[in-house]
Amino acid sequence: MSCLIVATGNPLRRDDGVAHAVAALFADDPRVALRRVLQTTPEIAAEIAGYDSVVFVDADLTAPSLMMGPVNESALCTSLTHASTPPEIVALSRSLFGFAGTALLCRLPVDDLSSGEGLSRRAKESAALAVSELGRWIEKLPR
Amino acid sequence: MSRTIVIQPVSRIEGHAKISIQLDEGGQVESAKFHVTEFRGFEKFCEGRPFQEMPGLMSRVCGICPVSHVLASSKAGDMLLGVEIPPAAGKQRRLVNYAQILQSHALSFFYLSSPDLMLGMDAPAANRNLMGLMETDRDFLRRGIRLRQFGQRVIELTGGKRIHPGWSGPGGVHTRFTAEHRAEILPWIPEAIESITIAIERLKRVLDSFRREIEHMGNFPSLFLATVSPEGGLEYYEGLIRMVDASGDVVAEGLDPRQFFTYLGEASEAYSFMKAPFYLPLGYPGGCYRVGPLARLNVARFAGTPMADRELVEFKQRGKAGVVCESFHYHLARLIEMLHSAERIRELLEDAGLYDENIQAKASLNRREGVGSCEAPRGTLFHRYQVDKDGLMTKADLLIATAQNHQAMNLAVEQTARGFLAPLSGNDTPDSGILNRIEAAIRCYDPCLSCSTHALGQLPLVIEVVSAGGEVLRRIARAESCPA
Repeated sequence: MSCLIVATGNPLRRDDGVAHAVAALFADDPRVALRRVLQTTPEIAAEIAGYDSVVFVDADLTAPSLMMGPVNESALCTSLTHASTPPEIVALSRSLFGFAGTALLCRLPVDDLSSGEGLSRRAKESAALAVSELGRWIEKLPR
Repeated sequence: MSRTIVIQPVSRIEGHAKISIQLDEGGQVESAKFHVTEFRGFEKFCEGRPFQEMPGLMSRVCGICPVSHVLASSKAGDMLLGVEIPPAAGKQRRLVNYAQILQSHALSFFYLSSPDLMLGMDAPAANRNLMGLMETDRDFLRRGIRLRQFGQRVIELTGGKRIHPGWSGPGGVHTRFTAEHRAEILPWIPEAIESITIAIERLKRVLDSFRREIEHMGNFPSLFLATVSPEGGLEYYEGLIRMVDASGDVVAEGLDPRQFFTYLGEASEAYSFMKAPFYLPLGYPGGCYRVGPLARLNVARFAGTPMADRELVEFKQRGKAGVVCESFHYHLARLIEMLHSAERIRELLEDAGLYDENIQAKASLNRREGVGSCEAPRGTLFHRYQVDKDGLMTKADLLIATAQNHQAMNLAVEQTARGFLAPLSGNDTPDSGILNRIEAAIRCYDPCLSCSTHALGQLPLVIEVVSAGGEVLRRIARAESCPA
């Protein structure tokens, strides 16, 4: 079963790059494909259609703890820019490109989105926990 | 009592802006302004950096058109080195530029403007977006997404990254283009051309339902400026500057883009962080000119590829003497440019010279000033650098495409407000479809405000506290102008 991790964020905005740090730790994992992006745009909808499952990983200042769960596909918020949210991406992919798999959202709690490189302690802890949780989730996927 | 209607943020554009519409005592539109409310600092913070770093730094000006900044910066670097780059490097740069035109225009047309064009200006705001298109026009939207994906993939394969590719620099490019790249790109082109052709036909079919918008959303005479080949054809990477007026008369021809600062000036307005360039011989604001897809098609005599040439001939018939003044037709011009870009990408892939292994000219610093230019998706882009004896940047001047449309966007906003906004009284709220038309006038230009507000220094910020009777109670002014 194929799985794509979409890591979203800007590594030049400190903790915003935490998803890229998570992706880096899966770089040698043959069970997953990786896609690192600054923001999720509609083209991702075309890409995820080729996979059985997709996990969107992103930093979240409002998350109280690591939060993993299905993408809420009813939460379409009608973007006013060229970027789209994971629910919109999944909806587009199902409607236009035939995506029929599972979609997961992994939100990592972070503290600092200021300009610069490097992760805060909280973001590092979030990343370590996310790698562990994602690893377990991927392990359960049918082969 | 006079009133000001504010639309903030302006939606479905790249960046942050607001529009203010001043009504008079009778509720009629008195004036309207497009305010760019963000600012950045690229011209300043690159001072002191080695010029070789500039393409990488400049690519960060924009996430939509980073390739344009990399190319203009690389060309300025070529000039500082005093070299002619190897032909294969030039072909790679052209290839990536066409891919960028294609992906950026796909974003503008399909993601940002198609909700207006295909669902209607008066469609409910909640539906006027990609999700609304998904419900009503799946194949059309799918093709649009695939087009942008195609352009992005060409950039990624050639430049290493979709966003901020740093593969080009002073003297050439850093990586070879290979047959494996070609094998992935080439099969995609028939689908791309088919999708663009379908979009062109779709747009032409709906134009009749936008007659009033075409007439009143930024339809005015102006100059038009673009790069052309020595023969006068469409050219995006290297050529000469040509200007025509609304009557089709050539105002200037054969201008050297490396001397842009001798014929283009930059004015500042208190209400916006974006500067207002103008054609120096006609002064400000009389020297208002437009750039971008509409300007390029107005200025060029021919496209140089078969399918785009056929469309260009038809396009020019929409205007007088081959010059189209209606801002609404930026959309059609954009699609014709996408068609031309796809045709050019195919030509380049079939050019054996693209695959040559000589891609870098080596030299040390030979000049103290370098200028690079190219046609970015939104218009002509100029970078001018000055360095010290060690090659460290002492000054950077970026003249950005979106800023060159500043005056035109203001005119378009004001004309649209006058044309569609009925007199308002009391606390009447304008109809959302009308306000959308005012935003749509801006969207015709596809402004990229991240690009256009690169200047850091004293901000042209003036805050006026005005009484209901029009008396200025307090004026807070930090500066009247930005440094160039």
